[in-house]
Amino acid sequence: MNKKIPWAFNIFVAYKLLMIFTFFWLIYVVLDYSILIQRPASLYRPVWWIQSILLPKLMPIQYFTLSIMLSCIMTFICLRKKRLIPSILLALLVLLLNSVRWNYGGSSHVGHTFVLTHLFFCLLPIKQKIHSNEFDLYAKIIKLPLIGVLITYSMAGIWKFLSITKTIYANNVHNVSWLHSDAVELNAIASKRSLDNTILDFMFELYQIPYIWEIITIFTFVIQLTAVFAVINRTFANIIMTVLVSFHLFNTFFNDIAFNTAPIILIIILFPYHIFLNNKYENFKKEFIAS
Amino acid sequence: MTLKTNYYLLIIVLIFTIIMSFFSFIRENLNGKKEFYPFFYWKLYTKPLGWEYQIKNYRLYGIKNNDTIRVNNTGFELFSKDDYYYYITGEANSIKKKEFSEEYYKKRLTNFGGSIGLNYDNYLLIEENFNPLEIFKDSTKYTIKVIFSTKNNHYE
Repeated sequence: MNKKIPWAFNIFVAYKLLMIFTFFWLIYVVLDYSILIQRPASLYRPVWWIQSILLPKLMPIQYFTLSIMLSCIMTFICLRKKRLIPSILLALLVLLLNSVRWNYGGSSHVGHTFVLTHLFFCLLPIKQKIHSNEFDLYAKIIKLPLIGVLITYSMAGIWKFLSITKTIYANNVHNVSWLHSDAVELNAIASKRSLDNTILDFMFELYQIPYIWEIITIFTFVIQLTAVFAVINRTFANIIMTVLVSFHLFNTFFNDIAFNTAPIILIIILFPYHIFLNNKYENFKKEFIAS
Repeated sequence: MTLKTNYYLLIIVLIFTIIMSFFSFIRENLNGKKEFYPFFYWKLYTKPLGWEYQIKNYRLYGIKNNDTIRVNNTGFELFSKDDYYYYITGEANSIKKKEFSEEYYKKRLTNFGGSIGLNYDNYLLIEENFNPLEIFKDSTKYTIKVIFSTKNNHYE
């Protein structure tokens, strides 16, 4: 039982922080919209079928303002005390607002971790007190949203291992997999070139060091593949969080692939608050289980 | 709502997302349609970019008098570096499939040029091909192919 209480405390803090982060995200969406609205209307073309139904044109400013105001109110309500209907409404608004910007040429997975987190957390009951006979079920429930978010990483990991296995099995020397000695530099240069940037000479030299990048790559992919098992063990969760966040930051700085919200969400949902907010955790623990 | 209902509801959502993910995957592989359900189908970077020692990139070029000028992706007020890349790549893919009329693309490319502060007579959408290892040493080592020209107003 003692091993499960940290999860209950952490999810309680995580939800509060998710709501605070949502406020900042809404500010970002408003600033972004102020740019989108200046773009010529002819450049707008929905990418997804659902966008062509819901957002055939750039969302008119009055609807946009309404959505933002509603989102702020729902976020504020849920920050004080999580309620089911406001949080479901908030998840839908987040889904809608996130898709506003992806109607100009390409869509991207940027923002999806955030949307999924809202989707799963909206159905999650957040308890500060629980009857001892309901405790075991609650301990299971709080793992489900984490599974829902982390399984995306595991699935991405499965694809990577399938691809590597296929290359090894086909034994094609011209086929560069992630284990090839040129893999990281090819990826970094090609990725940077999309934005007309180049990698530093220093980084190019680093990428030439034999074996180390192959080992780092495999290690990262193993962590990615097993991300969903973070819910089993608190220490493993810390490792998953650290490696995946580092992986995102490395990509942001060295490969120009910025998944803006993903590392923040990972920290919010996996951070070991029970260690760092020890006093609060002790109080929480005392009051949590009522018989 | 009881805790038990809540538990089953979350399980249903979880299973739903996984089923949708497989459905998207099968649909894309059967008839080449775009991801139906953009979440959960995370087939990203299964190979490093440029794994064939060859990669394509799309860029806008402007024509003034007889000069053809490459519009570098430097980041613009209305289109950040990422947005320029998304827009031009999305447009190139659409043009290659001939999804819309030539007039439509002409208007969009001209408007795009205008929205990033350019004022060329005509625009070209160019496919640049390069080997990442070569372009690292010499940034001009790429070949070009015209995908669309607003001057001739037709697909190339």
